[in-house]
Amino acid sequence: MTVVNYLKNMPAWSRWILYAVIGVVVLNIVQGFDDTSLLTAEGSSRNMLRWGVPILLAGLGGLFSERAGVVNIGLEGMMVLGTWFGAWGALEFGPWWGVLIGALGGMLGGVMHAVATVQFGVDHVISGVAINILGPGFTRFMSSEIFAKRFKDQGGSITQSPRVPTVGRFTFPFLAGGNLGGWKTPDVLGWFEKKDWFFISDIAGIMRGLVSTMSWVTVIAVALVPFSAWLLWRTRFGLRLRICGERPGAGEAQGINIYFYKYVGVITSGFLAGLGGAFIASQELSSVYKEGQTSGRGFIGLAALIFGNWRPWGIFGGAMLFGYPFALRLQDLEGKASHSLLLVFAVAMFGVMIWALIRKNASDTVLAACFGGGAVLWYLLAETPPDWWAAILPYVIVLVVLIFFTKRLRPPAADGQVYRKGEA
Amino acid sequence: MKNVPRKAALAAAAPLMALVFAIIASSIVLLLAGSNPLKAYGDMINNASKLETQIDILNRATPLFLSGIAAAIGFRMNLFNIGVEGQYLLAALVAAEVGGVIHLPAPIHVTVIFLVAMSVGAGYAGIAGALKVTRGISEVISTIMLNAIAISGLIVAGLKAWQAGGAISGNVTRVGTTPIDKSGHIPTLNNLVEIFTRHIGRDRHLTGVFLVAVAVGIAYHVVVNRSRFGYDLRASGANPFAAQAGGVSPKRNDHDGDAAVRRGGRPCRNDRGDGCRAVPIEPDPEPRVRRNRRGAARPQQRDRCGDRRADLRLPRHLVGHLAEHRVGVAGDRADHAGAHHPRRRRGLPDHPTHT
Repeated sequence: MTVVNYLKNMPAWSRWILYAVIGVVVLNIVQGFDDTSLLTAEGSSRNMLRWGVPILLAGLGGLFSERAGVVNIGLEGMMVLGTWFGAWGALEFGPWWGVLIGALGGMLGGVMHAVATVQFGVDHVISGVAINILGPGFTRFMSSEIFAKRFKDQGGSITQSPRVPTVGRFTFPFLAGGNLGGWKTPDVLGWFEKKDWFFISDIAGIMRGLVSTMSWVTVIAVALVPFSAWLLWRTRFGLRLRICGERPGAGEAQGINIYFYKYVGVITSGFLAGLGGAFIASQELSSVYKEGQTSGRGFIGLAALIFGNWRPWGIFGGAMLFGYPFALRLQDLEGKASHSLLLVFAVAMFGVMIWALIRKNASDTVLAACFGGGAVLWYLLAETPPDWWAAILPYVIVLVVLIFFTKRLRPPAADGQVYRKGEA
Repeated sequence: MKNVPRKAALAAAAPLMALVFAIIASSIVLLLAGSNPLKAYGDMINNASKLETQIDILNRATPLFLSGIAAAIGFRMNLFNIGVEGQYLLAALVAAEVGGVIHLPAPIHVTVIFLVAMSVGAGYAGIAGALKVTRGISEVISTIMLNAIAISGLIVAGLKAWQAGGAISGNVTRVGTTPIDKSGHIPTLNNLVEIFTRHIGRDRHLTGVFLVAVAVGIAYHVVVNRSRFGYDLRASGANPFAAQAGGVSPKRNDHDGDAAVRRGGRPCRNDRGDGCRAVPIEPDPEPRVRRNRRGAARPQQRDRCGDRRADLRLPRHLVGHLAEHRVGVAGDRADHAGAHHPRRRRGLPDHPTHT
């Protein structure tokens, strides 16, 4: 029990760092069994960040919307709008314009959602689903009008755009040897990584993957996490926005214009989802607009939002967790890493089991033991898991995480309720 | 009864408005794209007036109608089953393979295929239902995740395992399940339709499932609007707390009954076991609040966002107060709560009125 108490008394940031370190140790040990080093490779952490960023942006979008009391299932559709507008803007005006126009395209979806839900009191889920259907339909029509006609000679078609120019990359100076005013700084983490010391070099490699050769949009996206935390929890604006999601009637009594803040929340949500979409279409992930390329990442962003308990840093953690299997799948050609991941999953489940046992939660204990046992069994029986396992792994992780964490969460109290002025 | 025309007009108003809005919006888009909207609508009407096109429309509308009803059952109780697509595809795959493997006489063969499809769809939706009920996970997220798992996981795996039956047409190998015997095919309604119309050409066949869909539509209306089960369902959706106080178990209704409808089934599970009978819309005369072992009402209600809300217990200070005065509220739980009564903790006399 003392361990539990000690953990409880640690500041949150140091506790999370401790969890991350434990996670890396587990990954490090487990991957030895399968003779692979992919789980903790520098490339894996870099790809985790790359694949996590759209999820993070969608999650932050959901944060702004749901903190203002509007459930936003339409994030996926807004992301689709973002991919198309991002690609089109980049082709037409240049890479940075693409990022901006993509975000504005997503904002278009946000405006629609806001008008429907805030102004007309449409059920939030229905409006969101409508936007999810509208987004792909709209982009397909626009592609047939623009990519298939004006960009035909460059390889554009009704489902795909030509190659999109890039915004450029950034490497941290000192940490990973980036340039600072034309001077190439020393590569500290790279030096540690090359030493090949057990664990320390692995940690350095993982860190280096997180701070080197990343898109500028990634830098912006990660910077948005503390910015959102500050904006929503440290400013008057944030307090007012959050009251719309907790108790709009009380806000109304204070003289706050609830509709205005709900509008701002939902439109910001669309903006961020569109930014995520533009990121997907940018060089960082695919370099083209392609139909169906968001592949449900708006929804996974929503799951990251729930996993993160409607808080920015939690969303960041969720986005990285859900981005990791996407990243591994990309590099793991022999299926060894997904095989090891089964064992990692089992270890995590046994961890949850012990944790549930301490808290005397019988159903969680049994469930975690079943999941863990199943994963071990599968690990032992299968040489490599089938290729579809890697494809569904992110979604399975989302579900399993929600199974064990949903009860500990606290959504905004008035989330999803239709608010009408003067009724409270 | 005199309000019937008025009601009908109101019911028709929303779809008509939507249609008008859709025509206006698409006209604007077509004009912007440099096409003539009137010509486009003319072509559409021209095409739709052909008998073969109408058969196509009915064939395509049939599965949409059934999935629409599947979603509607959940929506009527404020459960958003977004995962109909995954449930539907998975059910189709498994039922097709089972239908291809077994060999039975015609009516039984079709029935077995239907039953397999219905139970697979219901089972897959049931996962989301179980997660919602036992874990409070928002069904919107869980069904979306289950969709992805079904479409890019289970169906891929199933197709791989069963693709041996895939037909080879020309030099293209089509991935598919084992072809189903003639006995497993649903008869077409062409003969029936041709009594009223001309011969249907171009190899079009109106599927017999169309009749099943009509029957399901009627059954849906009767069950949801005219039965005890439907009343419970709608009550759980409209106000779960009131419904629970009236004796409706919200957990039971939370299990998606909707997938059962998918292929002609009826969501006929009555918690009294006396079949779906029509009852007037009024609260149950005898409240049947579920009780736990100690006899206290179970505070197990969640709203559709998945958080605990309704705590049917009285506020703690009130419970303690009542327990002190020997007003039996909720057995020993009330006594237990009384131990935390502020007056006792502060060391004040227990029964100020009697001393």
